[in-house]
Amino acid sequence: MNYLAGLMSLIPIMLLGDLVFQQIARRIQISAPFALRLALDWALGTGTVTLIVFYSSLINASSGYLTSIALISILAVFQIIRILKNTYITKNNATIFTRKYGLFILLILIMIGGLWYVAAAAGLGLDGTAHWGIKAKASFLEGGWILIPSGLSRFPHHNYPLLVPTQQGWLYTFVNAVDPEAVKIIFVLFYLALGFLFYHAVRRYYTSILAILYTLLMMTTPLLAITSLAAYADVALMVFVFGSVIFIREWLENDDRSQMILGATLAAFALLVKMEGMVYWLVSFTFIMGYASWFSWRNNSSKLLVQALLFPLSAALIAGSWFVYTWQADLDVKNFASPTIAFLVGNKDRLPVILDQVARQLFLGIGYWGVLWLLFVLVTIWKWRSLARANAFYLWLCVVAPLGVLSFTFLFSLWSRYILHIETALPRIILHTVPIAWLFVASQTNEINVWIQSVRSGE
Amino acid sequence: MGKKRQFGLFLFILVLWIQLVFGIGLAFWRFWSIGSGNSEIYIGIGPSIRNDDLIDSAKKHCPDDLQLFYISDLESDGYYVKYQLYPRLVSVLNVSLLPDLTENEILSRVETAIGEEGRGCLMLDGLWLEKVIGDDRFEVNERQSVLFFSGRK
Repeated sequence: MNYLAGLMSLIPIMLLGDLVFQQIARRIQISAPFALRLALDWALGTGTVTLIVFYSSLINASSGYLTSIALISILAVFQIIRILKNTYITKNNATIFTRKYGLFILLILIMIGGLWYVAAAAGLGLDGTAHWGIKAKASFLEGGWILIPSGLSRFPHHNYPLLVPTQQGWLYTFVNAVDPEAVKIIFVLFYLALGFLFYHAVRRYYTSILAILYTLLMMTTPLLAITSLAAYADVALMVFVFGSVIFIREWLENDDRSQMILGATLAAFALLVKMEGMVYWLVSFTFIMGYASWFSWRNNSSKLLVQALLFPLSAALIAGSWFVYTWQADLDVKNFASPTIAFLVGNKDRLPVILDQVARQLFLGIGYWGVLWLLFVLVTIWKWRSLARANAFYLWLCVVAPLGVLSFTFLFSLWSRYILHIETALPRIILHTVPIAWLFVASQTNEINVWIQSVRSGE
Repeated sequence: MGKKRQFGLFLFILVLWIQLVFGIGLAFWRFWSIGSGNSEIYIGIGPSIRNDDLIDSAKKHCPDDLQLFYISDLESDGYYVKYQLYPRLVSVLNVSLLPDLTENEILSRVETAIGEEGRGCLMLDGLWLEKVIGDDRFEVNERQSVLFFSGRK
């Protein structure tokens, strides 16, 4: 029964996401393949639900979820009416009731069922309990988020963003119980959404069969497959970061404003998932502003620069309130010291240790990554000339810069055993870059496609 | 396309195939072992003992008006106990993060944590249970693994 109620709780999220998708990028939504649309509906839906529950809780903490459910239900009904009117599906000359779509939906449901069954048997995991689970349980029992005055400070890691526990609390409210098994559906959907986004990104270079194989390669990267079953925020972060990267990259190629809006929105929602989202946001922001400034100066046109400003604007609108809240509530967890020169000099001996740990993790951690990082390095060397192109360089930068910056932060670790801190955090820091690294490898080796076609045609 | 380039692409595809077979095989094996209940997921600091007997005992035997304390040998255990017993607040003394404390200092901290009132429930397991019972600073009534402080000696 809980599983059924859990499934029901996802419908308003998807419909809300579809509504948001339509409002911010209608043209992309019309032409989006069904799987991509499902993935973006889920991502945008979860992000928007988080914002609505956050604001509702600020108004009245004890009715945060109920107020949100009422409001979102109205919006969901509105969206159902729009879909039934078939306002945009017919324009795409497609209908979801064909046999092809029926089979596709059946396949998705089987995958969800199988993964949900396994995930439910896996428990929440350490971080899933300590960081997210206890907050989700509290928010459900209290009816919403008690935010003022500094209501989150009673939790461990109280400054962590609220997207994941909000989705859990939302599901618990529908189920009317804390059910750590039913709640796993959320993480299964993030995992599948990541797969759909990746398929969309590689399909540009490959036939559908090869694109599916590359998607399987990415999804079965050992640590990613395992993490997807725990109730951690990492896969959710990857959905938002990776989604943002692929649409920003498309914007670099097409100058299409709606692609920038979509990419900027997903990047802003990433700030509500995990604190690492800020590093990815800053890397993209720096690159986008640099590229747009250079392009505008060279072509004497401010069009691209104006579009680029949508990136920080989206972050201010979506995540600004969360950062204002954490700042005024003085929520801070001291895992790291303030980055001063004195501290840096004092800990310079750590640098070789950090580099050693990173190298070991990347190239000897076969059980976590297979040969992904070896391939990444080989392709970087083999195709170094292609890095002169903005879209290829952006992908490469979104892997290398966050890894570099986040590894460097261990110089400022306040843990008495900082090596334990590295060992604990590093695998998941690397994990966040996995789909981007696979996409870089795939996009730079699309000669495979041409070669296979020529072998098949006997040339 | 030159022979060398073709050979390079062939090698590359071979590596991708090995990775794919390795990844799918490992994923299925792990999914299977987790689904059949033979394995748990531990990522990060190592495994929680999931001391559910201790938690059940605390729920059953410790009255709501008493403060709950827990001495944890593993960081993860402290989090797990807090999660399970929420909304009851649990004061966790995480021994693993205080490697320099002597046994006597830890017991002094327990004493301080109990406070002036000198009443509360202390959740302990294994070694710590024996240590506190054997320490003459504490007067305890034991019910399973939850100790009730009825006062100080």
